[in-house]
Amino acid sequence: MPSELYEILAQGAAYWFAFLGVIIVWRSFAWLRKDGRLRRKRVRQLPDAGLVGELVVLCGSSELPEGTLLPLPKEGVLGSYRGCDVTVPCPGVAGKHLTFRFENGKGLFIEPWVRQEALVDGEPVVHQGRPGLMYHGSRLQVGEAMLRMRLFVGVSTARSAVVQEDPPVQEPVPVALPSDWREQTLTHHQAIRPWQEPYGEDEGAFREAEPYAPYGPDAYGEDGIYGEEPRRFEAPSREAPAEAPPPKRRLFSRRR
Amino acid sequence: MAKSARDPGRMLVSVVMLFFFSAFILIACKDSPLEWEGFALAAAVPAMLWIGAMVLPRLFPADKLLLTLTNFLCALGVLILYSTNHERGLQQAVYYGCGIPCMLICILLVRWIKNRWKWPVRLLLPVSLALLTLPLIIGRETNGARNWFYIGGLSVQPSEMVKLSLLLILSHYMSRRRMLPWLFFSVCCLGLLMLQKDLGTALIYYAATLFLFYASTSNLPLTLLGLGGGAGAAVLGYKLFAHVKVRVAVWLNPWSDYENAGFQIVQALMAIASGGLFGMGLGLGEPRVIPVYYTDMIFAVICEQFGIIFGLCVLLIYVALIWRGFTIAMSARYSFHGLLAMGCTVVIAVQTFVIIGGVIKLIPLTGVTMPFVSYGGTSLVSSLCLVGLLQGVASLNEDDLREDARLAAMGEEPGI
Repeated sequence: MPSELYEILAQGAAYWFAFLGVIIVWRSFAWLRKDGRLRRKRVRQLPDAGLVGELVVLCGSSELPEGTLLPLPKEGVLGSYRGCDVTVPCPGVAGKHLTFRFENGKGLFIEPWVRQEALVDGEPVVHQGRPGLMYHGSRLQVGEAMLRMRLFVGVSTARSAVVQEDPPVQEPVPVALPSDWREQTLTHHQAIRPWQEPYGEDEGAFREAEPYAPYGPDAYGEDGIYGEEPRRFEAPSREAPAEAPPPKRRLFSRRR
Repeated sequence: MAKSARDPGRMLVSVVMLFFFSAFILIACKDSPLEWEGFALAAAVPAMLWIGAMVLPRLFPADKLLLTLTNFLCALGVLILYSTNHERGLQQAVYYGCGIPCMLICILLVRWIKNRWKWPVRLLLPVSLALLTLPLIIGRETNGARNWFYIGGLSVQPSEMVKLSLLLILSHYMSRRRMLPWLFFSVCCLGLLMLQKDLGTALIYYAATLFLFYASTSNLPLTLLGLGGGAGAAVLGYKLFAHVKVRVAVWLNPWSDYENAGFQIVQALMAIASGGLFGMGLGLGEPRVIPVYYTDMIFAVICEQFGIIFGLCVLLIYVALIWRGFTIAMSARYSFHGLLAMGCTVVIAVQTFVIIGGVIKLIPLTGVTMPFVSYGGTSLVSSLCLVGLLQGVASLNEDDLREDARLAAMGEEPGI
């Protein structure tokens, strides 16, 4: 092509390329905006997205009343700082007290920060020691706070958990507690439904009798076990706990 | 029609394809007789873009927008290099072709290894340090820096490859709250880069380390201390290295010695100015006058040929890419993946800022490449690997969202 003709063509095409460049930028940002809207919509639809369960406060402080539900992400830091993934503003809890990491099918691994320690189901866990492992229903004590971990449906067991037929709904009836109920603690999550006897034979029978109750702090005993009769821990002296705040309203309820 | 309205990517990919088709056709018509290679590229590049942005995401889990923007920048590099030097353009197209499988490998690696990076990272640490030491032993000094070595006629810049392992090592140890290993590795890398006089890459490593430290700990006082340490090191570098003094002097007033030290920056500024708003036209102008126009100064060539408006568009495309990267990092469920995505994004962002800022005389010029666009196999492949890591994290995020939706559906069933 003659160079004069090419120059004319190239100079004319410069406007075309600038126009296409602007269109490309416009479409890219439109795509970004659209994806942002979609993501926000998904988050609204799935308020529990990214969470594996929650920590029920069994023994807290005036800032963290009993019965409060703390959302539990897959991984993060627990401490009294507001910036922590799980904030526990209680005496004896360091700003960054421990790190946790959830592994599906295994449980929640607990590693205390330097010079910190925690109790997992009564067993001490220290920094650089063997990490503590929490299961569904395990109790965690940090400082003066005591928390019970509850996992969402389908989280801790294999992902191929079989969804079974639901039992008939019946009104809760008063039941007699077994004599050794105080000694019994949840140590291992065996099933994803409350009627699948996760607490042993005796208590399984006990739980058969009252399969449902409303969700929220009112649905749990003071140790956070679903439907269990309220009981009081021997907590260190502190001010009278404030009334538990109402649970956050969610579109979906994935609690057990 | 309805389908194209639903899919925001279809129009974007179509416009990008149209852009490169018309550009390569135009450049192929420049010479007489007509260049068949130009026509081949006019068919091949849009086809690669289509496959990369529309077909690959169906086979591999990938973020379409990220892929489209990356492909646009890579293809722009091929176009600019082809318009100035056909051989370089074709070579860059080959590097681009090699980079795509590397990117896919990185996607699969992140998906396959997930959180089990303990042993890979332990292996990467000594290997990376050994690689970074090699230029000091068998390397040759090029443009004042000894950051290359040659194997069988092939030049390799190990700092570009170590960039990837730096991000993996930092993300792994920072997510595990192990300070000593990553601090040791970062300090060793920075020391070796200073010995190689590769200050631009050292700046990128330093910025990535500092940013990831802040992202993982939220410790502002220590981050500011690190920033102060970096400023102190910069002053020390100014005092110790003569070429740093020259670069700062040229940055302050390039016209003081425009025939020698300031020649490159002056020519770049003149090229940008002569391009005007819409450019001189593809294949026109005198980009070859600018020293190393095909690597460091390629943004000046883009502005000269396509104009400042298009140059701004390229900048905005980088902004969109970085925005996307941060979104992916913020959506990650595990801190390792979040930090990895954040690190990849920060490296691309800092590298872009350092080189474009240097070309337009916003900051002193340092010898780093413009990601995806500049000529160079190692740089292009490592940039595509960065995007691959980012894509891997994005695909894991998508998996997590699907899993959440499944769990929510389980929770919705009656009786639970």
